[in-house]
Amino acid sequence: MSADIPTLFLTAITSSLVLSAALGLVGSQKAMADLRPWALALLLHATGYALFALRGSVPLPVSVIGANTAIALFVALWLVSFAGVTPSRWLVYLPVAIVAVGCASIDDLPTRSMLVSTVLVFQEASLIALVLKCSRAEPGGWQRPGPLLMIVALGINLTITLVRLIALLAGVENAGGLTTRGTFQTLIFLTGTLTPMLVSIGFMMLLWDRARLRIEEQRQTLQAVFDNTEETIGMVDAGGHLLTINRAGAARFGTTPERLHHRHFNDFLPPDVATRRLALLARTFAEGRRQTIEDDRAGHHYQLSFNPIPGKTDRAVVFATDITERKRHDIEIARRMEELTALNTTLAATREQLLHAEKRAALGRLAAGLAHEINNPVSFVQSNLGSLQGYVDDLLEITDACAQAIAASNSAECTRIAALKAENDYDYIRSDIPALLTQSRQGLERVHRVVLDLLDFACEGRAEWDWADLHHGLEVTLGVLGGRVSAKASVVRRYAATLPQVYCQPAQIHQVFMDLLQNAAQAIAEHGTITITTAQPDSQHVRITIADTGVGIPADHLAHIFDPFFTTRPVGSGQGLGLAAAYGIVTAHVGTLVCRSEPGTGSEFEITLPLEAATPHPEENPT
Amino acid sequence: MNRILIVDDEPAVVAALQRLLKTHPCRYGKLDYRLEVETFNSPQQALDRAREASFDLVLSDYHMPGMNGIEFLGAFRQLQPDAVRIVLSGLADIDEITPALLDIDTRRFLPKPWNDSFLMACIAEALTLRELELERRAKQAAQ
Repeated sequence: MSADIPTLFLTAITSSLVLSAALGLVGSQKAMADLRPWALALLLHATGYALFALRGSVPLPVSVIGANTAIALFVALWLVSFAGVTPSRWLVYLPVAIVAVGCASIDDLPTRSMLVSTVLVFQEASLIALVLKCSRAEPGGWQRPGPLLMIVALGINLTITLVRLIALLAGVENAGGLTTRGTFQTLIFLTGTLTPMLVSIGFMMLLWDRARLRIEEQRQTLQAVFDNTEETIGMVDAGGHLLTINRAGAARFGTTPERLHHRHFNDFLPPDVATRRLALLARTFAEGRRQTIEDDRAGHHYQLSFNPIPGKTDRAVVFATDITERKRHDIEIARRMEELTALNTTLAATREQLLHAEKRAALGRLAAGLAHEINNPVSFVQSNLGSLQGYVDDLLEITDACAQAIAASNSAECTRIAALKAENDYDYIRSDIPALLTQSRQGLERVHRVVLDLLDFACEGRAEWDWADLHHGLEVTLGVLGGRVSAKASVVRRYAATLPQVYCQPAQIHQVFMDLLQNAAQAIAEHGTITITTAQPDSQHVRITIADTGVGIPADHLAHIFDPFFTTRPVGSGQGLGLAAAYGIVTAHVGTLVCRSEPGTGSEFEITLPLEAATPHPEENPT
Repeated sequence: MNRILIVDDEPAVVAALQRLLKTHPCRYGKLDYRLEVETFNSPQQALDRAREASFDLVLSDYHMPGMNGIEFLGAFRQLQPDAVRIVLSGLADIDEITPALLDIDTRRFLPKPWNDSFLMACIAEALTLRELELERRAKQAAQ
């Protein structure tokens, strides 16, 4: 077989151009950018051969220098195509420079051919070394098809160039031999033309390998994240089949991912949970956006999200987080909050009771001081009235004796005294003196009584336990309230014939009576009736009922009337503490305080107290 | 004659008591006591007087400026232990001062306002008991 020279050149040029175009096209994609210098190299290869082919048409120096330099540059570009392994700049550009300078300065063809061939041998050997170095650093080494193909093809090319160089040195080959070729030489030429194609294929395979490795690496990274996260990550199809799930997710079902793959929600979830999740999944696909849900399964609380994958209508990514602990914390915090609120309420109530006790103690001190101040003048006025009684008696006795003596003498004096007596209404004065003194004493007695009631009521603010007669307590309280109750209501007493004494804190119980009676009086708009009933429902309890004919309490207020600060009165007219304090006191006595009310008819407060809320002191038994 | 000492910072009270003791009979059974009364508005002055004159019975208020009734009677007891001590007070609660009263061996406490007859009966009884006690002691000493 023999072919003419232009045809061979054309074959080489065409194959390089086609390969360059093909690789350039592939290299235009960003992921295959490594091919770009390679394609450029092939373009230079084609240029080089084209210049050779045009040797007759263009000036010789241009074609010779241009062609050889282009070929040298072509190999140099191959050298720099190996991303990751950067060859020395001397290795890349020095040969190109030597070729360019050599071709320009050497006129003798065999010498020039020898120089160019030597440089080519060097370049190709470098390329083989680089391929080996580069591929050894990657998994699989140089034995992979890609590097192997490159090495073999480059090896063939190197051998051809080497043989040619040896032939040149031996003077066997004619340096201008390109124009005179036999069949063998034609085959050699074609092989040499074919090698760039094979090297390119090898290089592409190498790049392919690299890309595959990179993808595998990324996949492994993602898999590591997927497998080691504590969140459940899975992928489902639109029908509710689990396509994949990570280990953490499978562990939550007590199994491995493989056993769950391709199973339907209904297969591994309780029916109610599966139904809810499937519904949400359907919505995820219908609306095309993320959906979240919280549900309970196997004693754990999960927060799930279904996330559609952009561009896929039948796949969604599922994330699930176990929020049991968080939920438990939330509940715990809520419980603590509740406890704090309760504590706050108790504190407020305690504070109110303390305040109340403080007020009572103040009242007690005031009452004691007042009693002392009032008792002093009352005592001497009362005593003086006694003395005055004696004096008046004595004086009257004397007056009577004088009158008799004067009457016996029957003188003018007698007439004058009689006139004086008549003028001053002597008989009336005499008869009125006892009444005058008695009434004055009674008045003082009343003042004294009020002071005693006040003292009794206040008990000097003490909270001591003692046996108490509650009828007496009610009377004392009514006495202290005086006009505040009697002005608003007539008090009807339905007292039990006998009521046993109750072991209690009398001062506190008086306070309860006071609060309830005041409340009853305030409930009455103009004038009404307050009925106080006492009874003994059983041998261990007494019951006191205070009923009024007032406005009553609406049903929705009834539940709150014993709450501190609950009041229906306008702001400023009452603190709303009375009933709360009363309730607290009765409860402290192990008793009950209940309210029944009918709006418009009136209210009824019923206190039930045990006879002995606390263990009485032995000496304090009632008599 | 039985000598009585009255101490109260309120002059009207002193006057009323003086009036009462002067005009009201002081009888215990058949015994009829005649009383000679000295009054003071200040416990300090009363103590000064007690250093120079002897009394059979002392009637004192509780709340007084400078010195209260218990303190006064305690001091008076040092001077004249045999005199009967009575506290007369408008104090609200006797419980409060009972321990102090017992400390100075004083068992009589009369409230204000007092009842005239009751007060006189108390004085008469206290004087009688005092006399009996003194007699008993005199006999005991003689034996």
